[in-house]
Amino acid sequence: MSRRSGLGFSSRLHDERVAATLGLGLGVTFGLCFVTGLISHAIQHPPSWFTWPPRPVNLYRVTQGIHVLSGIASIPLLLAKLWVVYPKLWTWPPARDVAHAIERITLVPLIGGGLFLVFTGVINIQYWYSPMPFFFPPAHHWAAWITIGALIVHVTAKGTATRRLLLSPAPVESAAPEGLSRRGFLGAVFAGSGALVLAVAGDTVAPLHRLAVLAPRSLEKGTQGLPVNRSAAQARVAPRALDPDYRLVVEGRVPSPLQLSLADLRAMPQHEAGLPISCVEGWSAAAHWRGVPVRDLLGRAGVTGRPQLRVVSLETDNLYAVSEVNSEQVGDRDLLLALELNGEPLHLDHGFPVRLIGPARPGVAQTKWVGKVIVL
Amino acid sequence: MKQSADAGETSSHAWPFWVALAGGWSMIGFGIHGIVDRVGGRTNPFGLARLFIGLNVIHDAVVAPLVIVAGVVLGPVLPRRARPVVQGAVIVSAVVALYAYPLVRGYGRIAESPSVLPLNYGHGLAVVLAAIWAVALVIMAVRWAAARD
Repeated sequence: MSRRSGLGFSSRLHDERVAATLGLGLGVTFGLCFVTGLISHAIQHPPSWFTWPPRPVNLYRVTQGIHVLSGIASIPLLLAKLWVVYPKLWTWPPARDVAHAIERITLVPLIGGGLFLVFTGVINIQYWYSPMPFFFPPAHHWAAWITIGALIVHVTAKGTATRRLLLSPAPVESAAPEGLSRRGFLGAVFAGSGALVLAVAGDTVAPLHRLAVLAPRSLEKGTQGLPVNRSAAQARVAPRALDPDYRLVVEGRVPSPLQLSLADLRAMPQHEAGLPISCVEGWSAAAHWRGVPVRDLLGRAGVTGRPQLRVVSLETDNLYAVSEVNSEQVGDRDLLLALELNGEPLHLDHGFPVRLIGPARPGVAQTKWVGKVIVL
Repeated sequence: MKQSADAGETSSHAWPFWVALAGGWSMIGFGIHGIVDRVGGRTNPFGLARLFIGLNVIHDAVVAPLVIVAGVVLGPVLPRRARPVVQGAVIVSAVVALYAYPLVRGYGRIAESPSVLPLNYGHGLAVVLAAIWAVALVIMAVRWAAARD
């Protein structure tokens, strides 16, 4: 029996089973995004009980890569899901009882939040800020709480039916379809997710980099073979960074504060480490760094134990000119004040004269053009 | 209408729903508090709410009806046998183009940071679309061959 709806794609696609399958997919992608997003938030604004470990060195690279790629995979799933359930928007009466009314009201934060998170996340990695009259990180973070809260209500209301629908055998579809079958529709939607992920993932999964034609970064394009997030020109830092009287200051709770020239730093024992730049925007690139272990520097200043640090850039006009290092990371031998990148002296765009680089840290906390290390 | 009866059967409002409602709306309240409280600063609650609700309205009032109209107009024009594959390829093409649009337009380019958005995204989009339609043609060819046997 054909139900005629007059809608272009055959009406059988506006179907509970299709909605349930897409809902399951979205539950997975949004769940991954929420968990990895909270991790990234906690790393950057650590509550007292949270210590992000320095090992494995690629940990943040993986969690944030999952965050951004799951978000991108959600685009087709979310749009398809909304299209499939669209006729329900116009059901009359709008609710059967109080519980149903509350459930439907909760769809406003769910759908608004889902669209908001995916839209702002995508345009943020694409550097298109003008549609956002607010600072992206807190807006995206708080909107995620709203969306996931609404998602919990929705999943609880729909969970039983979803399980029943997905576990029961699929009804046979007519042999001579007028258009896309349900399976064909779902296949196209998931293929859309796959195509997007393949076209982007190569800016963090190196073996896929040749496929990454729609990625906001290219692993090959950047000074010294490494992408640059904020160039020296953008940061307007050249006069201070290139000043021959540059001194790295080590101060705070230290027995003997230090003021070291670049020559002093080069004269100290150097340590090499292979560490990725792992951007909060989802791209990442491995590189080879050489410089002074922060442990040694603190030892020279007479510091014993593993204090927390605040690292301050020569750059002034940037919210991210300061980063903090927890005591576990301070103890790691690979936490460096790097002087060299990939066998060459650090380029100004990568933080000359000295940059912080440490394992499993977000790129935004790998402070460039370091002027001061403050022991807390 | 039949649909409202259909819609009802898929929702469960037993006690777990009310527990989830309390928990879920607590999270929603926490999120709203975070936006309005502005401890971290610069959330611009009104600008944020406008985009939050605006995207909802734009989808329901503009995007969804346009997609439906496009389906009504395009569907019958296509040869019957090609229709499912073309519809599938249109879906994949549309989402890729939607994602790529700001990149192609270069909205985010920064003159002082050439390694941000370093690629020719018009070319990239064309490559992906070509791959999608190549796959679609292969699927159609296989189906036609199978139908002849």
